[in-house]
Amino acid sequence: MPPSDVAMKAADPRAASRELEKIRLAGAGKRFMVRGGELEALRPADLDVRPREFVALVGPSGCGKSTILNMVAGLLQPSEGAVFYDGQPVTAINRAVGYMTQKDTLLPWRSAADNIRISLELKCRSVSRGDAEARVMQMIDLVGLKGFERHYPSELSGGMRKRVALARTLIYEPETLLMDEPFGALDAQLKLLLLDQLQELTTLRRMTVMFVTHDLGEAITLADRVVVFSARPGRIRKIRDIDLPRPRDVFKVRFTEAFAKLHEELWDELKDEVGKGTDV
Amino acid sequence: MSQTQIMTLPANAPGTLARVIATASGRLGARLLVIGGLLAIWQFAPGTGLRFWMSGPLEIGARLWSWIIDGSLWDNLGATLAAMTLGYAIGTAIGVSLGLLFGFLPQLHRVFAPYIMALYALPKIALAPLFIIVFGIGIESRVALVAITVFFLILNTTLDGIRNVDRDLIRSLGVMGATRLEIIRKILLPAALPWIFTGMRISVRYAFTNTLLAELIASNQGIGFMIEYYSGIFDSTGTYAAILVLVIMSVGLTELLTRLEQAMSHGRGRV
Repeated sequence: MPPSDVAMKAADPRAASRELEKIRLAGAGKRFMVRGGELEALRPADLDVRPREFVALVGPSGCGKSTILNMVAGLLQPSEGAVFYDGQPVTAINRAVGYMTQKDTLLPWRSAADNIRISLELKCRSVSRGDAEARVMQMIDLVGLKGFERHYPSELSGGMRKRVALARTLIYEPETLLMDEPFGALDAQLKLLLLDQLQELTTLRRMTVMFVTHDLGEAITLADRVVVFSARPGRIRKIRDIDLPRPRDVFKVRFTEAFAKLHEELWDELKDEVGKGTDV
Repeated sequence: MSQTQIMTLPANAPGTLARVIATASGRLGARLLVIGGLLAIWQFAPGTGLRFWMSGPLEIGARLWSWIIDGSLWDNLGATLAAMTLGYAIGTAIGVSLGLLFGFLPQLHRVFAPYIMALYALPKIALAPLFIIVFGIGIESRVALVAITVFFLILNTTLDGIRNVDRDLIRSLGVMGATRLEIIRKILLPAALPWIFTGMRISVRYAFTNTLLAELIASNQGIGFMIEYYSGIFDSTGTYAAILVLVIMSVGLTELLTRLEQAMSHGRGRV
């Protein structure tokens, strides 16, 4: 660390608390060059995510939510500002995170089980064969894919592929999860089941989560904080603490009065923006 | 399935002929009739003048039989197949290895790319005379020509295969902590494999054609040499007999490729 940073930290009364942040966006913005023109995907944004916090990002399409996840994963570099992980600027691929992208990146030549297992085959994990097998079976059970282990991605429905991708991300238990609309293609009942599993697992494994979704209800059900984005160019419009008690019953929490109030409040923020959203 | 449909059509029922050739045995009979008729015309229609140029099915058959008896058919067939398979094997081996190397080291590929493009565009048969000067008219010059033809085809399909790998797959494995070597082994290689197979399948035909062409240009052996030799001495019977051998070879090769392709499409996804 350069000496000037140390000096600044000492002088800054909030330095101590800053040390605690898992993820920090410091004026991080992103512009893309598109067909010769410049497109501002994300206005410079500030956001701190504490360890073990579950933060949901909601907003219309094209508001830069996915861009934020890409920057935290180190797949994109911010055009301005910086992104920090554990206090270190993210300049290369961030291997501390598990990233479930919107598009499932399953390997078409591997069966569902083999896709789920892939992270355990890597040298950096060194999991024994039998151990890996047991964990794969456990994950398949968890995401309800029993009987489809040997199917190839092309033989699975969109929802099933999402579940394979989810299992593949969860199996190596990364300390931070980045999820980009993981449950978009699922039917309502299954979605609730998986939300429940996700809540249990992330609490149990003490994971930090950044969760992008279109579904405000999903966001309120799971999150400690909900961040509402404006339409493009995306900027943070509101950050709301979700003070619903934990553990939450994902099946019932949406019928409580507190939930309804939060939903109404956040929807008021969101509804102006939704019409302005653009799918790219 | 289609035959029952045709046979149960109530109104406007097709004539007897259509009904006969709708069955498998009827179709075979019709085919035999067509070839038999053509052969008969070929055998009996031409007068003595035309006979010199056209020969006749019986004469061609007799010549073919004599080649089988004296072994010259097997020698020449063997020479053609040897040049083809040897050149194919060498071209494929070098093409795949260099393709993978360039695919994994794009910087290196960028250095060589313009030269590869220039040579790729060149019709390789134009190199045949050069190879004959360098290697002589023996099998070596033909092997060299086939090898270089196959090499460029395989090199390019291998490179295409690696270039077409979804970058998101690579990134997703990178986030999981994969090393460069692991990404090559677990993503690039399996993803490029179908492309390599496609290249190998396409190259078979080119290998065959170029072997023949090389034999036609200058050679002392092979089916192409036979065609060239007998037409050179105005022996139409020998020429036709050699062409007939070629037809049988092509049919056999096509059949083999179709079988391979089917076997491969069954195995797809299990790489």
